[in-house]
Amino acid sequence: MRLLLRCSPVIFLILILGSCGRGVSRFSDTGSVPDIFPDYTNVTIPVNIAPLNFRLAGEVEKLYVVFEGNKEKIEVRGKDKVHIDRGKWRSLLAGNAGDSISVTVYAFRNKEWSRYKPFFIRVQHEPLDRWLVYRLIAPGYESWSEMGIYQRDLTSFASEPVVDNRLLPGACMNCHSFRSNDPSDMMFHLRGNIAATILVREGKAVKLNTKIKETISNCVYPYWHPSGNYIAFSVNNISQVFHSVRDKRIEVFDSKSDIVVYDIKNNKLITAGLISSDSSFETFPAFSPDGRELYFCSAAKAAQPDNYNRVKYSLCRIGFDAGAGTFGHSIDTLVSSHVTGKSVSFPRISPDGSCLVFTLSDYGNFSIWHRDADLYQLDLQTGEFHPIVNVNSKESDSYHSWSSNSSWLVFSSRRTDGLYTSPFFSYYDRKGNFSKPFMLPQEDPDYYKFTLRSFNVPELVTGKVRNDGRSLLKTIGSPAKNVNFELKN
Amino acid sequence: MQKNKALGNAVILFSGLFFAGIFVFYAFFYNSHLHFEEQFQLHLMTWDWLLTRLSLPGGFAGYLGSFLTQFYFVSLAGPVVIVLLLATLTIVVKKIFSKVNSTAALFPFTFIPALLSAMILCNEFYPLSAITSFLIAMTGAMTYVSVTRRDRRAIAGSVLIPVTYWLAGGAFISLVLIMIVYELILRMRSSGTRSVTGDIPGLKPISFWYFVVYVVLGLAVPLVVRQYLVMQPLMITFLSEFYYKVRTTIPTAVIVLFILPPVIMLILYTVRVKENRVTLAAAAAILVFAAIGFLGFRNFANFSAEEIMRYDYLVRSRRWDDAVKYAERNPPRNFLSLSMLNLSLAKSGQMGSRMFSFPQRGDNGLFIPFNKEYVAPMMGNEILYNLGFVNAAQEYVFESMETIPDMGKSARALQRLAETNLINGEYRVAGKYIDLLGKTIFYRKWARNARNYLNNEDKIDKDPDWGEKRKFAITEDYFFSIKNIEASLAMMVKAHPDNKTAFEYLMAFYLINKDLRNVLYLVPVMEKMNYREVPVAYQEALMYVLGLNSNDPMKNAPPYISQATKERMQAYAGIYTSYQDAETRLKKNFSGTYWYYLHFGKLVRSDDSEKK
Repeated sequence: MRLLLRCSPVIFLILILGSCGRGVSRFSDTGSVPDIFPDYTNVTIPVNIAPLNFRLAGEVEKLYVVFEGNKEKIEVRGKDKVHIDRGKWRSLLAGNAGDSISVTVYAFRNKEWSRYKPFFIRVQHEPLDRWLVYRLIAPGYESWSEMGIYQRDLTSFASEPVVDNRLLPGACMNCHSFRSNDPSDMMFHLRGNIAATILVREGKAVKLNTKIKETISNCVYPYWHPSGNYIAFSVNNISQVFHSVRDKRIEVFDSKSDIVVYDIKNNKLITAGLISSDSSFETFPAFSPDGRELYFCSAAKAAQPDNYNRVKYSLCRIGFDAGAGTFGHSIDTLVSSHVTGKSVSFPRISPDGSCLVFTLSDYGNFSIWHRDADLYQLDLQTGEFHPIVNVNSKESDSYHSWSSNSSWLVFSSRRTDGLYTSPFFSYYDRKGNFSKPFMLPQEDPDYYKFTLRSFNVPELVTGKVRNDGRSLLKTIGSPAKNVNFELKN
Repeated sequence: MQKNKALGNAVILFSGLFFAGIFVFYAFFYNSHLHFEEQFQLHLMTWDWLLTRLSLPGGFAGYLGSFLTQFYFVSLAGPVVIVLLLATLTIVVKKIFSKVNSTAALFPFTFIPALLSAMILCNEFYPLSAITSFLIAMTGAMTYVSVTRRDRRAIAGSVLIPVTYWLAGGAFISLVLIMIVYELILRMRSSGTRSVTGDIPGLKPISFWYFVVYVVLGLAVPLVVRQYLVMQPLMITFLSEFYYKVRTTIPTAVIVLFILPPVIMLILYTVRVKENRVTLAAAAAILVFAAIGFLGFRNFANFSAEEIMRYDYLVRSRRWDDAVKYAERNPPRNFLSLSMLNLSLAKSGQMGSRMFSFPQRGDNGLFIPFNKEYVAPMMGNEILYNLGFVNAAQEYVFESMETIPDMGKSARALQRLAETNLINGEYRVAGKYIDLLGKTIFYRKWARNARNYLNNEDKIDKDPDWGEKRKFAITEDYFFSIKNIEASLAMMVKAHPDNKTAFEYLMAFYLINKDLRNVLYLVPVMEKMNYREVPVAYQEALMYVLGLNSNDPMKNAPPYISQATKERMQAYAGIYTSYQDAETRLKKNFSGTYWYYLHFGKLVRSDDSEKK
């Protein structure tokens, strides 16, 4: 007995190790692919993504999952969730880049194991930009609680605030934007009692007052010129109203909007009659990767909110001369609302210039509140466009942006529960094909189940945003620099 | 010896009275404040929630505070929690003070921190975590003063400062001050300045340099945390976000609480009570204590707010009859209370009969205008929800939750959001809220039941509450605004003439606004309501109109006008038309009639001064 007691730790260790190494020998096949959350079945992922931890749906007592590549495999055990070791995961992905790994899930229920049909995860060589910057805010109406702009290391689960209202009590911040995925050139707006635009270049922050008498509002939706010398903005009179019927909540609309371009060097807003017309609404500017064209959305002006569902935006383009800071003399319409009968928002061109992705919804421009909002791709050579079937869902699929290598598209979607927005990533093969998207992995797969904040405006950046909180606070507390105005052409 | 025994009995009696007093106060005079506190927080029993809290300075105290606050859900459990917490605090404080001066006659001083804590809790902006953090700091201080060897005490002090800062936040200031004061006292004693009557005479003070170390640690630890771990405003760094619900406000009362123990220690050190003056000293101390208690509670307690919270609690609990009974004893003094009373009258089937028995002052007593704060929208949501404006109720409650000053979430709000989403068939979002509530102690049972309704159309349709809301669902879309509530109500009544609450609110809206033309328009709808007895206020309004348009209103009155109403009108008209001081004469017997309101009632608009 004493001997048994003495040896018990060893016996215990042997039993543990034995059971770990043994896997599952007796099981029945379910014949189906497991229902997991997030849905990582048959997705395509970059070689540098964090482990895809997941939960098996339904009641389950134990889980045993095998991730198997060409040479190595990872075995993970859990109750109902899978937490993959980061080191092993990284090695597995590195060893299988350009290939697929198979995932076999075994579930233990009612004293027996069952095996699901394996699913596959395709691993792409092309990495994802390492950091994702997004805003976290409750999908509410007029007020906000804890919110801020945050950054997440996509190779791990580390995240931290870039700026939030823990640091700036009562403040609201939005519309963060980077020049060509570069974290050192950044801007965002502050709203509320300390309203201003904060422009950060090479770590130095400047506070701007962009509300001038010549424009209809503060600068709103931004897009950096690739040179870093300009930022295009829309200026909008934005209102919101609240639906009464059960399947709709909020309608956000512009009663006026124009486009202006902020000339950073000369501290002035420039615009032209063609992009700030009284007879139309212009919004959501985006420069082409070569900086020679400015894309935007335009709709015929209509009284709001009476015509809220009759305002439909077309995708347009105008030339831009960055040297002179002037605009072209004509506007091209690439996707006409007369043809689609729908409304375009958020045009975003891949950095290699091969593909333009936009959001198309039934009307208006605030597509996140439109369940019908889907992502479309436009071939800039042929002018043809079509929905990206692989990535769209029944819920709103809306804001999107590209990775610096043009291989990945990140977009926000409400597909999980119809209200709270989450980021998804899809691989673009440069032949016009997008892969089935995967949800931003979290250490705890239940993260999305319990979070009460939406991920807004996901933007990929190549490095970490290095803002010194104290100097940022100092800038925010200082007087804002007023911008000037010039009407061109 | 006998004197000591008497003093011992006095301490027991005093303790009993003090804690019983606090219990009675919070159980019977200030209980709705506790319910109010509880509903505007969400304490999840998950590791994640605990870790999130622990990742912030003062987070452990915050966690402890919200953990205990959830027990406020049960009316008598809240006062018990407060009493237990304050009793523990008193025991800990007593142990600290006894090191400086163990004179029994000064025992009331030991209760002063608990007294101030009890006062602070009267203000709904001070969470329980302000007190839990103080208790943690006092426990640290008790540990410190109980270390007899000075080298060990120096080490203990250097460790306790950062640990207490992380666990309790700015309450560590109290610890540092106690440590310094304690060492100063030991130093004075060892230098023979003064003798110490504390528990352990003969202790040696720590070296002067440790004073410097304590001060440096006290300043440096928060700054290092701010620089490298949690970037937040300086005030929050040195205090904590868990002491006051508005992050930009300096929690003065809590700071006073933190400074109090070292100050009392110094007082105790200086006060010497002669043998023959013990009774006098004890009496004086009790007197001082009572004066602080009286003035403090008068300053901190807000019984106007308690009244509003009482109405809100009764409405939230759907205790409609109790709300009306409460109003009979405490007539509403502001629009928030009045609107809760009117809802209770409507839901208990008394609106048309009794609403003018209470001081109606305008349609803001029916509907609460939207404000970007958390109280009015929460209460306003109850009205909209019960009228069938599900989306509007959802908006109100969501906004309420988003404007909670401490940026937390609300169990009550999540419960309502789960309901509105269930009614609207948004099962995935409803499931999310239900799952969250399932992680709490007191809403778990509700969540378990609500889960059965997910994706079960039939079950929801058959539910008396949710099914009714579905039945009255708005099918023709329009943009809702509380400013256009009359139009929304009219549309609701037109689409759902069987929505009795909406009909009675619309009638009330017109009656309160003295809009008899529209009251008349609603008579055909009223006639289809199958009232066993048409509500008195409607009868009175119709009789008034008849009186204006008919030579013989008594004869021409429709059959549903009761004989009593006719006779009452005759009596009222007799006085009204005969006396110049009719208002005064009618007040006694007719102030509850619609006629009296019509003739003498004043329409008041809400103003900012009424908003709490």
